[in-house]
Amino acid sequence: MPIIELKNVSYTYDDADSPNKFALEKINLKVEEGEFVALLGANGSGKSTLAKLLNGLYTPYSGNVIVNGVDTLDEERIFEVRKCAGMVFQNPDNQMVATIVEDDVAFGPENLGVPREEIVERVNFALDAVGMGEFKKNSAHRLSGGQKQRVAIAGVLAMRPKIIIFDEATSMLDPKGRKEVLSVAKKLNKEGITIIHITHNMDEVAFAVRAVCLKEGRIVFDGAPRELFSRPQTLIECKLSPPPVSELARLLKAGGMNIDAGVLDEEEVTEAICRLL
Amino acid sequence: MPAAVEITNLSYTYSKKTPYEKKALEGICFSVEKGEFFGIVGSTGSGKSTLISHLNGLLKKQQGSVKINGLEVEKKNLKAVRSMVGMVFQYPEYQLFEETVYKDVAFGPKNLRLQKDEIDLRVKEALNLVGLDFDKYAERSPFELSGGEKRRAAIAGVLAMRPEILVLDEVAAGLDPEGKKDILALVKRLQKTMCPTVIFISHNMDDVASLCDRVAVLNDGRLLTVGEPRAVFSDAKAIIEAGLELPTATLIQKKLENKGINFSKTAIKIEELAQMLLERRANSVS
Repeated sequence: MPIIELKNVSYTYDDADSPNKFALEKINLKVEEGEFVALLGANGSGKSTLAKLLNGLYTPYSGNVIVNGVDTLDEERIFEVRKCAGMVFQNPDNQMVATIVEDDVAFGPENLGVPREEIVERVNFALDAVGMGEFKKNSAHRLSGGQKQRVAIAGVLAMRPKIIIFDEATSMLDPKGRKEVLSVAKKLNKEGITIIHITHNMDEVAFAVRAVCLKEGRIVFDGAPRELFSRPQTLIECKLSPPPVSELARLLKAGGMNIDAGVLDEEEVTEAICRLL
Repeated sequence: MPAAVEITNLSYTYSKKTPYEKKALEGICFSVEKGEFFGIVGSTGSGKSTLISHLNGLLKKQQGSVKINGLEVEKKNLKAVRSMVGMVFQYPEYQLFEETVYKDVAFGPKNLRLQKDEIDLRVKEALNLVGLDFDKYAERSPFELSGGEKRRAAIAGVLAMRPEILVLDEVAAGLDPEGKKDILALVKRLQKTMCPTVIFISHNMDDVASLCDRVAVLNDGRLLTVGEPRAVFSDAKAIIEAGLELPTATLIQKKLENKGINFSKTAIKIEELAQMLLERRANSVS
């Protein structure tokens, strides 16, 4: 059974009685447990709307969203959905609820009524998992952007989720913070957590095993990042830019070199060039 | 002719004489000539924001000198300095506050106590420059606009002051690829029309390499180096030690060099590197 399943899902921000425009239209998508999916699209393509449907922040206009076997329309079980699918948002400064790092991470389990000893255990585990253990007594506002996002991830982890959705969680970070967050995402994925990473930064897509591209509320690509990079016309159609490495591969290919246009990163393109020179 | 910006021996310490005391800048010296597209790079905490906050007197100088077109940035000159230096901070759209786009853009000129006709003219000019149609946008709430439009509206507010020197802090951050392309094209256009001198702060070394005439590298409050991007990025070791990345082309070139493929010149743009590789291959075939 897929851990996430969207069946014919549409969503509109208009009046439900007379919708003119759909932010998402007839989306069908299955994500298996343990996958690392990059969800891509330009502004207004519907990717953040989709993210918010995944943990019941929004419910579909039509169709169904099933998360870990629970329909998000089932109000009685919505907390199960939220516990299972945690979200990390874009702005590191908007997600802190407490002044001290460990209090911030404890906020979720406290609300679930978890006993104190277990909260302590969960908080320590979560902060260690994101490499922020030594900062647990620090004041949250003095952290860097990347550190704040890692604390936000710890807050989600303390809920023991099966899925973490990164809703453009790296877009406001500097390159160092970006790397910190991505490597934590990768590590958690290795430990079995399903990751949905929403971004329009193509450099980050290579981290994922699967890329899903949205354009005007519809899925126009679902496959390996490598395949996506070798199809620049799909990227352009989605108003996305190919990453610099595939741009290099494209130029070399156009100049007559027999190079695979689907190279993922600097390492691969270097290898490929070495073979050809 | 005096330089657009001349910084001499500038130092700054936050929270002096408290447990949080932190030296943010130390002995910074460089100048930016009129007409330059000048980059400032450095990792988070290297002092970039502290430095640019001195350019229009947002931070009071503790030590050293900052001159704008020959005029020292100090209390008696603040009005003149601020009319010359336009600052676009990170995520400027968070600073939109008025009920309509018109009022937001007019805020600066109004504070200059300009006549209504002149204010009208300036708002029209500024919106036109950023590519927002006056008739369509002037009466809308800035909060209804899309992310890219909001950012352009916020920049229009700075342009309505007709600055000669435009300071841009991470102006493309957080935008999608198309939004980013639009904003960078806008900046280039502005340099040709209104603001001949641009100071461009960015974490994206590909953008810095392709846009800037010269670039200053800050590391831990000190000026590590200043020069043309090709010269600056040639010293890969120094760039990496400063916690920065190399432009993608330079990085790939370094990796190729590690594999024994040597180059006579540092590539900083993808097109250059492609050209070099294709020429090399053509030579080896013939």
